[in-house]
Amino acid sequence: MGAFEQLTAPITRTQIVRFAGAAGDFNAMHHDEPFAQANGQPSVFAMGQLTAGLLGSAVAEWLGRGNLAGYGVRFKDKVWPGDRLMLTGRQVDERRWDLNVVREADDVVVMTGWAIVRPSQYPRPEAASSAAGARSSASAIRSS
Amino acid sequence: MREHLAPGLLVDEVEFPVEEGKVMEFARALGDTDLDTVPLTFTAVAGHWRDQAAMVELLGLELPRIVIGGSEWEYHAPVEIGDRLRGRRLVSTVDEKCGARGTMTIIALETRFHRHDGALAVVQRDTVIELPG
Repeated sequence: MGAFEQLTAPITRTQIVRFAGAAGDFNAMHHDEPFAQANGQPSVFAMGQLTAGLLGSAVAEWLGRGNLAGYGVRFKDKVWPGDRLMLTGRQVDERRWDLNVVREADDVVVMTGWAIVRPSQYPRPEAASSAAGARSSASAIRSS
Repeated sequence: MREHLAPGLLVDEVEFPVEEGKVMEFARALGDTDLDTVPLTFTAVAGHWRDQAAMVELLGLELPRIVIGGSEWEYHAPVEIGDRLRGRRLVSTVDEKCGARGTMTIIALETRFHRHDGALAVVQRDTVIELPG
């Protein structure tokens, strides 16, 4: 069974703002420090979709973008500017990987997740003819 | 007040292009060096074509009590730069949990994104939670 891990660079306010523009998420809690502080937060914090995207990029690199049939995340805690995140993936069976995002400074889990790879990644030898078709369709997806 | 909040309720409908510049901007925000491949969570850009305040009002929720529990994506037909995606966001389930602090409402939303040629490309599911007031 496989395993991957990757430590991110510290999350920056610039990165949060860049993602706000990229995704169209202009909730002021994520880019307006006085607004966030007036609402009881110590500072702005990353949107969950930023963390989901960071892990998604890592997963796509680990497993191959076109090989993925599904990807999901559950948000557990806020991610703050300065946080470095340890992204890990652990294969639990032929198709499923469990994913975890932990803040390096205090080992708090900020997000969990999973990824499912396409069955065509594992053609059974006895099904050689159908596997050939599956492989060509997988490579067509990869080349996109 | 929330009789309308039931499975099948249409929240909104979006259609948007999968543009090279947008893919690059999204990938760079993630520190991704692959700027040509559509990222796994790219359908998040639908935020540009959505009115989240209207969504909250339509669902009858109180914005300060809302948190997003999670998101997931199912990948079907491939999505490439140059495609257009359109999707209708529907309520799929509504659950209420009563606890000591009040009622928590958990709403599952599903958007099925189709390419311009009609092929189903991505199914995105989001869990919206309204915490007890």
